[in-house]
Amino acid sequence: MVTLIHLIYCSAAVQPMQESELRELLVKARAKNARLGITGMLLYENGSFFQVLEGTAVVVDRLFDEISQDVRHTKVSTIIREPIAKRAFGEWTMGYSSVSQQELDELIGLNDFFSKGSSFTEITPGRAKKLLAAFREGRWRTKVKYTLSPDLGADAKKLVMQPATMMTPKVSFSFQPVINVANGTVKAYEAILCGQHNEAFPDILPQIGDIEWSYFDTNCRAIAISMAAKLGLSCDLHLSFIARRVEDAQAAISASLEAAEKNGIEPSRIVLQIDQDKLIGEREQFAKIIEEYRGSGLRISIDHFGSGLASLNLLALLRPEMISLDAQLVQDIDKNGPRQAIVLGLKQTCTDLGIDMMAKNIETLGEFKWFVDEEVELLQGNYIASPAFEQLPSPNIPLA
Amino acid sequence: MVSEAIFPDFSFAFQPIVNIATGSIISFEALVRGYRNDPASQIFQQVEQVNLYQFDELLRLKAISLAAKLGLGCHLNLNLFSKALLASQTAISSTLAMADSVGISRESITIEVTESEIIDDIDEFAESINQYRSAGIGIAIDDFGAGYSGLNLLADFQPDSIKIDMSLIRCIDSRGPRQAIVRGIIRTCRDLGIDIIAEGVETKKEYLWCYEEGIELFQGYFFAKPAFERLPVAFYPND
Repeated sequence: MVTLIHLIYCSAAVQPMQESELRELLVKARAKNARLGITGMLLYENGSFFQVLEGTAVVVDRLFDEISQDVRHTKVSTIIREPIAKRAFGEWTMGYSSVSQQELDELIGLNDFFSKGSSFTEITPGRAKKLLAAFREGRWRTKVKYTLSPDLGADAKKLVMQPATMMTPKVSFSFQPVINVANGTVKAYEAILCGQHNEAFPDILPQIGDIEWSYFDTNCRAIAISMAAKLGLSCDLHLSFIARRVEDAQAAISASLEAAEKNGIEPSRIVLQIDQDKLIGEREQFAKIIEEYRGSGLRISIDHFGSGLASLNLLALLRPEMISLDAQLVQDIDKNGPRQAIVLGLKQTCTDLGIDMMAKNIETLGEFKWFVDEEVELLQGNYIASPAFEQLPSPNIPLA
Repeated sequence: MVSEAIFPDFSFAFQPIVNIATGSIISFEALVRGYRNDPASQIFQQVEQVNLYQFDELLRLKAISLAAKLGLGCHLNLNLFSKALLASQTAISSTLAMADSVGISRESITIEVTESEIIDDIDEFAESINQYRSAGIGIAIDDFGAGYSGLNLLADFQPDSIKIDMSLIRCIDSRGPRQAIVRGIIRTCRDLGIDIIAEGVETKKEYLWCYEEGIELFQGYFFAKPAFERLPVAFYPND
C-alpha cells in the first residue's frame, strides 16, 4: 500500500532572502518536485520558512533529509509528519507566498501567536494545522502562482476490504450526544452497546473467546452504523473499538469502513474510540495499523485518557485526532486542584499537537461549567443528555 | 544494620543540578560507580536480586557519608528503588540517621524515585514515601514522561520536583511532538507548584529551548559531567 503523507516543517533563513533568490530557489524546487511527484507550499515571512511537502512517504522523507542539509537555513524543526487521505495542494508542485505580518495576524487562531512577534520557527503542530487549514480554505491560494503537477492517479489509494464472517449478535444500541459548546451544535452521537431490550452491556456479554470476539466486535459496529443511518444521523458517529488482539485491528477497521460506505456515511464522520488499556499487544504495531488507515479519513480517539497506561507519549505515537478524558479526571473537577492542573496540562499538549480534547461522563452543572470556562469544547454526559435506546436524543440544556 | 561483605566495592560520581536563574548549583545527584569508576550497570550485575533492596539502602548511606566528606554545601539527590521502601523497615530510618550523624540536614536531601516504579502501587507508595516527607526530605520523580504513566500520576501524588526524562529532552529543539508534551508537563507542574528539572541536557539548543519555556533547573553533560568522588563545578551558559 502506498502511503501518502504530508510533512510540515519550519526553519529560519541564515540571512534574509531577496525576491530573486527565492524565485531561483522555487524554480529549482518545482522542477525537482514535478519529477518526484511532490506537491506542497512554501511560506516565507521575515526570515522564516514554513513548508508543506506532500507525497509518498519514502520520497518525502528523502527530500526532507536533503532539505535539512541545506546551509541556507537553520533551526529546521519538523512540526507534523503524518499520513493524509488526499493532497491539500494537489495542483501545486510548490506554491509560494510571501506573507505580510498583517495577513498572519488576521488568521483565526493564530492572531495571539503572531501578534506577539513570534515566527514560524516557534510554531507548534496545532498551529501548523490551523495555518494549513487556512490555506486549504483558499485564503491565500489566489496569491500563489503555480504550475501543474504530474498525474497523481498512481498513488490514489484503494482500501482492500476484508469480508468478515458474520454472526448476528443479539445486541442493540443507545445513543448519547456529544455537543460542541463553542458553536452550540450536536457534534456527534456515541453508539453505546446494550442488549436488545436495553440491558446493560456487561449483563448481555456472553463468554466469548478472543477470535469470536473479533467478529462480535466488528459486527456490533456494523449494526451501530446501520442503525445510526436509519435514525437519520447527520453528524459524526463515535464507535467503540475493543480489539483484544492487535492482528484483528486491521480487519475490524476495514469492516467498519465498509459498513459506513454501505450506509452512506462518509468515513470522515466515523470516530473510532480506542480503549488503550484493553488492547493487548505492541503499541508500535498498533500505531502502524492505525497509520495505514488514517489515509481513509477515519478518525481515532483514545478513550479514558489519563487513566492507567494512557500517557503523553502515546499522543505522539498514535497521533489520535481526539482524546476523551477519563471519568476519574472529570469527576468533581470543579473542586479538585490536581485534576484541574492535569487537564490543563493535557489541553496544552493537545492544542500544540492539533488534537481535540473531549470530556465525557459529565454529571453535574459544576463539572459542566468548569469545562466551558476552560474552553474544552466537546462535552458529553448525563448532565447534557442520557443515552437513549435506539434514538438520537436532543440535549437537555439549551445550546448557546 | 546492613552487612557489606556480600556486595561489590563501589563508590560514587556526583553530577550537579544547576539553577540557571541564580547561576548556582542547587544539588548534586549521587550516581553509583565501581570503585574504579566502572559504570553502575556493572555494579548492579554483581548484586543478587534478593539483596537488591539491602544494597539500595547501603548505597544511600555511603553516598551521604562521601558527600559530607567532600564538603557538600547544597542539596543531595539520592536514588531509591521504591520497592525497597516496602521491603525494608530501616530504608528510611537508616538514611535519616546517617544524615544526622554526618551533619547533613534532612531538609537538604532529596529522594528520587522513577515513575515506572511508582505506578505499580501508587497508594502504598504514597503512604510510605510520606514518612520521608514528614522527616523533611524532598521527593523527586525521576525519568518523568518516559514510562507508561504521565501527568495523571500527579493526581494522587504530588512530589516536590520532577525530572523530565532525557528521551523527551533529546533534540527537543527540533521535535514538535516532544515540545508539545513538555509544554503540557510544564503547565501542570506550574499549577501544582512542582519544580521542573530538565535532565540529560547535552546541547546548547536543547538548553535554550527549555530555558525559553521557563525551565530554570538543569542537569546534564552540557553543564557538567558526573565527576568521580568529586563535587565538580558547572558551566553556566548565560554568563
